[in-house]
Amino acid sequence: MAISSITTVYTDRKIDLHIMQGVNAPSKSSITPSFGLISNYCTGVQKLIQRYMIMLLTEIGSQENYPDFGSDFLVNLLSSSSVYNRVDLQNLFAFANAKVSKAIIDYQIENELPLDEQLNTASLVDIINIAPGHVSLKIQIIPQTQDAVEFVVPLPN
Amino acid sequence: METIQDTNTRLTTFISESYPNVDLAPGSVLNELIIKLASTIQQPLKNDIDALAQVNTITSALNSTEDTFSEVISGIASNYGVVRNTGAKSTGKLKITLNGSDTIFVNEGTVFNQPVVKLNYLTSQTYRVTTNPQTDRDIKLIQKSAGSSLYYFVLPVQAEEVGAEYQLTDKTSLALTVQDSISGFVDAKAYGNFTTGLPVETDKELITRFKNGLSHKTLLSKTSILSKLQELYPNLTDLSVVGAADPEMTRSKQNILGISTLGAVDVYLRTSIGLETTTITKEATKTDEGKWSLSLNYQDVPGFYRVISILPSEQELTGSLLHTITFDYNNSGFTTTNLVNNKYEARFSKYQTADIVIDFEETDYELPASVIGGTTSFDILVSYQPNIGDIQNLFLDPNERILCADYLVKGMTPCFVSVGVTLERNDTYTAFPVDKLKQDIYKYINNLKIGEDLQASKIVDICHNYNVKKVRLPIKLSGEIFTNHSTTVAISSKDTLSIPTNYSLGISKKTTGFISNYFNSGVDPDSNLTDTINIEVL
Repeated sequence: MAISSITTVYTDRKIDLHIMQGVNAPSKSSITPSFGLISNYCTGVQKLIQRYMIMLLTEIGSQENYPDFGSDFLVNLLSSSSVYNRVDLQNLFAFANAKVSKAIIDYQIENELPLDEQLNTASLVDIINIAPGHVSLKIQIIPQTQDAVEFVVPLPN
Repeated sequence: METIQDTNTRLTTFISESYPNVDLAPGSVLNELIIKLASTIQQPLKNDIDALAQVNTITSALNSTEDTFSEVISGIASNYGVVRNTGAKSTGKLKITLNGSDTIFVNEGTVFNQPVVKLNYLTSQTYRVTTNPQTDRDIKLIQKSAGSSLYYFVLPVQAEEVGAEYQLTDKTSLALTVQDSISGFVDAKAYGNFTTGLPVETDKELITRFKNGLSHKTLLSKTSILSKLQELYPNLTDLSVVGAADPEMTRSKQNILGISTLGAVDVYLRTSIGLETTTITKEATKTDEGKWSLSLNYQDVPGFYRVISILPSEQELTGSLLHTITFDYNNSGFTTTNLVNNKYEARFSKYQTADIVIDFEETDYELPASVIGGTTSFDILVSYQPNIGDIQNLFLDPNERILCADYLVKGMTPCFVSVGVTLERNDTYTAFPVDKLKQDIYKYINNLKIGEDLQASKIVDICHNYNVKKVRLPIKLSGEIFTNHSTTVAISSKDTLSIPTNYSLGISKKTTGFISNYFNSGVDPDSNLTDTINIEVL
């Protein structure tokens, strides 16, 4: 996951487990969410991106007792036998992104967070053809610090 | 009871206090992997532990905020010869309309569903339905009218589970849960009110009962009367006593000075959750062309409220014949009787009598005309509270009666309640359980004691047991009191529905109680029923 800038002070920041491991900032690298590597934690914009990813890719209704958590992005992609084109993917992403962004912004309104952990906007920058039948989404997140961060999310077949 | 969100908050608070640097925001890995999964496992365990803890002692069980059903409490009660009531299923009959006259079989376990409150009713045995019944297990299939392709039959059913919420009123519609399980099925409606169902007795109710059982069981005070009667009549839910000093007492003041001569007590009973109905078959005498006359007394249905319909027996007609009723009273001819001075004091008691004049011209229905003075049978459907006559006889029993007192037993004056609630839900993705909310409101209203106020705030609390964002105020509460003059008095409120006072009509907090049905039946017996508990979900 590419980190476009480095915040300088992480003292007293709240931390989360880092499951998007394998990136040494500042650089670009392909990663797979996983456990089993050396324990690692994250904070700052990396934590924000991780939260956004989890909420975007969790299928809504898949968690017992939390029927409203997640988005319908993968639900729509995986449940339908339809063939989607770019415009369809953009539409699906737009609805899912709106829900996830609202949930994150609602939380940051209620809780005091550092500026680089506060979401400003998230948007779909590009749809990248990796191979026939395989695409990835290039997403840009702009936190309240206005330093845009881009990352790529591969989609299942 | 702790909700999943409460458990979530409890764990989040604990971890945050222990590890202030940990981020547990929604979407964080720690929240997803630890908080949510731990909450899902812990929440039911905590609720189970809390429920078990509440039945450790009788005091805890009495103070429990939830209904508990502990075997330990059952064992303790059995030491005093008291057995937990396992509840009763509501039973009734359905009038089922078919297209065609073919003989059909209705299998045991055929399920009918009331789609609004989502309650199920089923048959307890297999029946053969035919136009030519041969055995006791056969049910007669009757043509609706001459030349019609529609036929109907009356089918006994019972509720799927025990509980008070299963009582349905006359003409409530039901649907088959398995389509085509009855060939030619058109529709099904309740044929008369269903009987009262009873829930399983909770630990709190059982403890109260065996504590009362240790007390003196006489017919002297309200408490002792209640403990005595509930042993004999488990369907008795409440009673109210009006004595010499009460303004409602008129029987003992019928003297030149208008002061109470003491000794007279009126006992108002609630022996069913909602009113029940029953059919009486009685001979009427033709008094004039198109006019028939019959009388009802304590041997028919003691203390009945009103006549719902009258039809000639075995003529397979529907609807009701026009009729006029004149109420009166008769307390003579009994070995032991009560002081009753007028028909209003006798109303809803066993001393109530009724003279009914029925408009019935046989030739209008292609039947042979009878001579003046001839008789024929009529089926009369009435609403009533059960056991009024039996309980009055108990009070007059030489072995039980209080020798210096005159206890007159009556059914309580009913106030039929309608509720209108509008609420906004939190989750727009899942269906809102309107049926469950209706059942809860139904049980709340029908469990109110005689004279107890109906609070809008309690209904709001019930709504918030479900996933609602808010309940829009005001809530519409209205009631219709059926008086001892056979008139109705309307009341309404947006906050607290309270029984008013009108002693001449027999209305006060000591005589009147709230009753709720699921549906209102209109004046036209064939019209669609409207919701009594109307819930609008936005």
